[in-house]
Amino acid sequence: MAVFKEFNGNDVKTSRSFLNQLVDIINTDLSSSTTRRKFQVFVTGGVGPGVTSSLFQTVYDQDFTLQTANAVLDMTIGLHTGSQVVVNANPIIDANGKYLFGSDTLMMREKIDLYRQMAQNLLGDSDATFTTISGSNSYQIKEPLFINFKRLFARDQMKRETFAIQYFPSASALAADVAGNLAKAPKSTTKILTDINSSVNKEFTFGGQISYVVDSSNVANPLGVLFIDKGIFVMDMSRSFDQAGPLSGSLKAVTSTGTTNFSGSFANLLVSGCIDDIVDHIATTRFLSSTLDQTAVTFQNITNINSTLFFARLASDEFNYSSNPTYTDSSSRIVVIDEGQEDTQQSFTFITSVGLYDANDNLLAVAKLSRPILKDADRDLTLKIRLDY
Amino acid sequence: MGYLQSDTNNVILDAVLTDTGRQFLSRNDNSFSVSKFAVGDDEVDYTIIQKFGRTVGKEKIEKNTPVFEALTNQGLAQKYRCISVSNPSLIRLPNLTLTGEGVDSSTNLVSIGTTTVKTRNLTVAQSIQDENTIDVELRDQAFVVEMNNQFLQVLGATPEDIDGQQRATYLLTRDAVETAVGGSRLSFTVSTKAITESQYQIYGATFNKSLISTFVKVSGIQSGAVFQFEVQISKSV
Repeated sequence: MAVFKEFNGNDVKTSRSFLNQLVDIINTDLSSSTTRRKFQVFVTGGVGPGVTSSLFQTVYDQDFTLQTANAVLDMTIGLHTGSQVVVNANPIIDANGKYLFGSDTLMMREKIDLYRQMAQNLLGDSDATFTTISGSNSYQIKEPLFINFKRLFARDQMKRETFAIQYFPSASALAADVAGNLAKAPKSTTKILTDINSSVNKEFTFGGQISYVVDSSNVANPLGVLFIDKGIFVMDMSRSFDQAGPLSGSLKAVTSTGTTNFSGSFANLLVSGCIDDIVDHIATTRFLSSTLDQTAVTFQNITNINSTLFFARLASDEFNYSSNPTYTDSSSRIVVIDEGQEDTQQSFTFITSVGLYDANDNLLAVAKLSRPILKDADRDLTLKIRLDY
Repeated sequence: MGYLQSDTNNVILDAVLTDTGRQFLSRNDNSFSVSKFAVGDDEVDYTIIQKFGRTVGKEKIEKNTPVFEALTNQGLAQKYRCISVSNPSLIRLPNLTLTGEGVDSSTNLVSIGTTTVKTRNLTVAQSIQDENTIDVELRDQAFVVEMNNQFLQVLGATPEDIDGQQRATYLLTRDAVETAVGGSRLSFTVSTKAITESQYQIYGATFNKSLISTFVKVSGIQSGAVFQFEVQISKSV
């Protein structure tokens, strides 16, 4: 056929390649209330207006009310039933295994359920405990911060040894701030965690490959686990955040006013605060810097690209004429051959696109050249066309 | 549609799926199967060769012709395709001419209506000037006729395909009788479909809502020649 050329078996190959993208999440996206969306699905009854709270909050890359905003990650916390925070709350376990907590606690069952859900999905057992290991030492994570990166950013996998997170271990401890520092950012130095050396310690769990995330200033101190296939970071809050520093401020509560004045440690906050209050506190104090738009989390992702390579082989005697209307003049004469030179000159074309067709002449895909390429009787051309899936 | 950066020297061309390609992939029935390719030169103005000569003209085309990004509309992505002919010494190529009822011979505009003149008998023929005959390889045995399925149809024929853009594609066989130079002829009858008042209001010309303009494309299978003409559908005719 004059305008088409069939591909034969040797002209079509498949290949697989990997694309890495660098993802930077800035601190203001994590800390700002306009980029952090709440889904208030938890509602209490009882005294006063009650408490509404999210089970997780979603961080966007801009104001989440804008249609152009992309969800970057989800953030929530969990508590293991064996956590000292839970044990100290003195729960009663009824005959059905249901945990009953005192009225000075909030959302404790939901915090436990979130931990169990993550453990079931990542460790294969809802009763299991997240663990970090360094040498012969292992540390159980019983009060984790879960950061679930959205698929848009985590893609097929997170790349090993590219993950880092920068945070403040405590809220503001300044004398002027201590009264009501639940949402006051500190001025102290940040800590950086990284999954350094994870390329040489490739471990697998039920939830896929993992990287241990360690303190960058002391790599023997693992403070979290990164599930690189699932795109979930499990951060050990009990060892990453300052536990002793006093915190105070207003929390949602089942009271006649709907709030209560809180004063206590970070562990107390995990018991008394609803998930929204705890995540708000972490986001606004641990990730807000006095310098705006600093990187809080960074990593590279991996996208697996499956490609079909088509080799369009244009032999010397093929595609040397064109149906372009400028190719002939009003008398049907081919304009690229000079008048009087018909004996010595031959036609040529300039190719700018390659169309891939099916047997019924349907155009399925188009590839464009960056500039016109000369095709004449003196040259064979092989154009390599990649179709990615 | 943006231009492609020309300072790159890509050895691999990235292809984008057309709307039809995506549609076929979504069917999940193996209808997406690439079997052949064609090369196109839509952006190239070959009159530059006439104006500047072969040497400078080639340079100018190669270096001064920006190329558009790929289009995903099957009907627009590759309008003009390059042709393979075993005779390397052709000086003239046949073109397609249109004659028939309601054809303005100077503009190739076809007038048709939806009231009394609902059909037009048209003939597309291969012609060539100052030659006694058309190269045998370039004599079309069949033609592909594409038109908007909302407004037009070919009487007595069934479309091979109607794509997502409502473009109906007919595959029509040439007439038995050749032209004097051995060219092929295609006679067919174009008919308007039942066009509603609201369609006239939506698709009608801004200056006259009783008039819809649409285009019909005829391509020769063997010659690769492409001929496109406008059809004006009038509500009152």
